[in-house]
Amino acid sequence: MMSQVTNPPSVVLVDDHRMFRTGVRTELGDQVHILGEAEDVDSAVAVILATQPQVVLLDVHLPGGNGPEVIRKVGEGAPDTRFLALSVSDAAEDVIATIRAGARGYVTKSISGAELADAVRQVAAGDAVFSPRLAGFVLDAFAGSVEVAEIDEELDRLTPRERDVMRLIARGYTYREAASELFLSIKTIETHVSSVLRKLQLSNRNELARWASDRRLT
Amino acid sequence: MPGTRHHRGVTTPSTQSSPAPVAPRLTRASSGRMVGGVARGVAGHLGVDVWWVRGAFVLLAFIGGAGFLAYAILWALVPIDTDGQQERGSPAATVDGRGAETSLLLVLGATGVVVGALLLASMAGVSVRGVLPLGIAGLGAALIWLRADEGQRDRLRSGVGRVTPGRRTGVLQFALGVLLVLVGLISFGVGGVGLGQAGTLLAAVVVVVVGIALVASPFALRLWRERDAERRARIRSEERAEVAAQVHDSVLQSLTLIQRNATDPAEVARIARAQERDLRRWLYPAPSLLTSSFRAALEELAAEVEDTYGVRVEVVCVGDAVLTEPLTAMLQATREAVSNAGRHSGVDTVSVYAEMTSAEVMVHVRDRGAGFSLDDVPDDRMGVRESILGRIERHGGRASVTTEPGAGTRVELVMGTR
Repeated sequence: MMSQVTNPPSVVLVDDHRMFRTGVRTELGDQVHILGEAEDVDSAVAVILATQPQVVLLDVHLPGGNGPEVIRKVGEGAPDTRFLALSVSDAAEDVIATIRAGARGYVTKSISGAELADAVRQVAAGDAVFSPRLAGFVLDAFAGSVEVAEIDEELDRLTPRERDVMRLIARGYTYREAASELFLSIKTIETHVSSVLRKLQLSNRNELARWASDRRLT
Repeated sequence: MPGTRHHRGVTTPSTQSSPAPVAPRLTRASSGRMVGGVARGVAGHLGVDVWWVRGAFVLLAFIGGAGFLAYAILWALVPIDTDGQQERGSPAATVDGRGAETSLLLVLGATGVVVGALLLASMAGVSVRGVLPLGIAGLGAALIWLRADEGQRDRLRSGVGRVTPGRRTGVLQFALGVLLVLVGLISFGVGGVGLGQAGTLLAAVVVVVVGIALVASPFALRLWRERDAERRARIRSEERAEVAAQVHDSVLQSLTLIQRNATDPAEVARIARAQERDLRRWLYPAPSLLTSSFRAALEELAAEVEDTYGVRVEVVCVGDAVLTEPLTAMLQATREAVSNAGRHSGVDTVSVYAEMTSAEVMVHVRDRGAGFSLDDVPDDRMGVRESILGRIERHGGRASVTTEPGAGTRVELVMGTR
């Protein structure tokens, strides 16, 4: 399989439910090359460091810590590995925490096999993957008025274009559909999404953290 | 009589055995003890030879019975060594998991009480005999305390499945304690203490009380902590009960339904989806700061359509708005659009996106299904024209339906909010 021309992305599967891992394996079939599986934080870190996959499909909730913990522990040990969070959780706090720990995207487990394979390829290619819900979270978190003299303006707000792209993704548009809707190339859409991801990860905006925790409290 | 009970392995020279009837009875021949194991315990704790401690107790006993009093108090308040872990004189022994400081505190406190009381008393010129009633009263108080401690021990012990002492013994000890306090106080009064001495004596009494408080504080603290732990355990068990109820009422029911409908995939999917939604709502309650929230109503509506048509309705909301009359109309229009998608689109997913700002509410309903030609919709069909477009426009909003056969359907609704 490694010698295949299309070179399916190499993947490590981290989830504490064996049944779920088996299901994902089956659904993805030979669209990806699965290098290994793990079921908790420590085994995940070990497998990732040993196999250096292109993409880690990472469950947000794991025994012995959570998804973000895995990302932090792997750290520089696997510089070319990218993380895609996969979870049943709809809690904004979990989503934001995983993205801020460095994940390149977030999809819910209800995603179809074909969509998941697409998402893995996108992440392997360096793009960000936003589910509609994540786009909604972003719009919510960056909504409203930022105090005029915020420290890092560029990081703390979305450009109108980025906002447009997020709105379309929140409506369930694919990147391709969004591109044709906005008369942009897919590449441009991807650039906007990556830029939003960067802001989400780096923004110091107080509201971001407060917003995420508020969502949990109420 | 209390059943199996063993004490910290030791003893005291103080020959008094008056606490004996009330003190824990030893069934385990703890080696190296003479009376209650107090001296051995103290010696073990302080790391000195047990005879030094015994000698100190004896010596103090000659000073108006102070040694006796200190011994009694320690006996009452130092919990017994719960399991053989504390063998004779082993140093740094912690009893009942209490740290060394605690027992040190006990020793210092008890000794302080007695010495302080005696010093004050003799300074005031009260004969040592005058102090004796105080000692008796103190012993009584100690017994009451022992009783309280006993309760804790009982609980601890029953937790480990050991024999608990009879309840009667406890009552007896308590009664005896009260009696001794009364006797002590009365004989103190009858002792004919002059008024001039009363003030100094009062001070002595205060010192005694403070000392007792000092000795008692670790126990009070422990009692308080135990209460706290109990409260927490209760909350936990209540939460557990709630989870169990939720699992039973919904999850188990759904699983039963699914088994019964195993031959009908559509029905199974519908039940599973409804269950998922229900569980989600319970686990991640939607943050609604508003009493009548557009967002909450929209999510509810989506759930109903899911149930009715067996499709998945993905709702993404940004912001929230108060459900006013125009927005209620908008909600009804949305219901129509989502239902249409569920009914006619032929796909299993409908996306609903709502963005609510202070100026307006925008709802977007989309499916990637069959689509239709607007021109083909007969005039008498109320659906799109009346229920969606007309309804929104009557309330001053804007609505558009974009569709063509094979290209899915998009419905966009916008309503201003003042």
